[in-house]
Amino acid sequence: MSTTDEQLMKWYRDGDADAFDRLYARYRAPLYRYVLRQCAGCAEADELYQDIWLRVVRARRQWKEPQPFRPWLYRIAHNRIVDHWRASGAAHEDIDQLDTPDGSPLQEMIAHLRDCVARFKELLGHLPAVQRDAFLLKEEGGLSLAEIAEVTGTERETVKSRLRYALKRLRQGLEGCDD
Amino acid sequence: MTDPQKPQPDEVEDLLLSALYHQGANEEPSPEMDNAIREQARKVARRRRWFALPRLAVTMVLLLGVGVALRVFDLAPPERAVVEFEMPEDQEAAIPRPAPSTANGARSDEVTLEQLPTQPALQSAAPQVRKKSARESLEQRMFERANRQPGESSEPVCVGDVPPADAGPSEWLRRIRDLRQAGEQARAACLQDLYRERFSEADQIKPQTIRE
Repeated sequence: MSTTDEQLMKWYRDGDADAFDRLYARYRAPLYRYVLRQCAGCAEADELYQDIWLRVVRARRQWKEPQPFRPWLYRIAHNRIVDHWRASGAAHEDIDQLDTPDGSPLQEMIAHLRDCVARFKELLGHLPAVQRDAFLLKEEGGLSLAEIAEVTGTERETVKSRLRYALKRLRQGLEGCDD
Repeated sequence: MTDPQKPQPDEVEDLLLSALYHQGANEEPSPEMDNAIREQARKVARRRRWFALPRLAVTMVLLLGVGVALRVFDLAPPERAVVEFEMPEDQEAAIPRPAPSTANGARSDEVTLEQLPTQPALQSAAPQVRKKSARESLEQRMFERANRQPGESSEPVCVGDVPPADAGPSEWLRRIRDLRQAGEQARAACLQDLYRERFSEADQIKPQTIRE
């Protein structure tokens, strides 16, 4: 049976650096993408990502067993991203400002898929920040609605609504990608 | 009717969206960044271990020190401070006494005004009841002490110095003072102990020293 995140975090908090390596390996990629998508194209993505992990390291003693590690990690990340939005004033981008791709038919399936993925990323980058955040916490963080609500400090129903709107807008922008 | 097991069209589309998203979700942090973060976390963990060692050592030394000190000096708690005092005769009468129970066992709110004992009667009855039980207890203890085998107890005998049963605190204190003046410190101390047992805290006379 694999060691739980919480066990690893406890060991790290007690001074075991190897435990941190194992924990880091589990979350490095999804957390990196969570940050990257939140500020698509922004030059500070790497800096933000690194800063989030340093905050985790510094706040290790604030983490108390049996608090689930994953929502705790993403709460730190979310707060850091919100700080970034506030500082850069980039929180209110809207999909309505986006020039929707015309969806011209592509010959090759792979090229078509690649195009859809690229469009997806672009659409995601233009979603309202709170909707994008909810979507990424679900997809990258693997968090439940309740956990997202806890991380973002909102109600479960609000999260549900944000996700519904996010998915609706993505669907609209990705017409032709479901065949 | 819809089958609850069968996914709804929206759910299918959401799953497709999720799959599409993960098709393109393959970015990862650079190895340099990974190393920088791991190194930072390692540094902090090492620092914590170094901090923890002296703290543990200091705690152990302190505990050991306290244990050794207790053994070497055999520290005992300080003796209880003794406050000695004397009460003038006229104050003795003013000592509050517990209220007596009625003779027929009736509740106090059922007693008529005529049945109530007069104030002087109350004052004389209350001490008798209280003093009787205290006296019995004292006599029992004295009897036990008097019947101890020689060498069983090193406590000096002062039974002969005990005032009569109806004597007030001032009589006790006078005897204690007399014994002290006569140089009978051990008997005086013994009688003082009995005095404390005889009279409750509330009854003991408030400060006026009986020291010579």
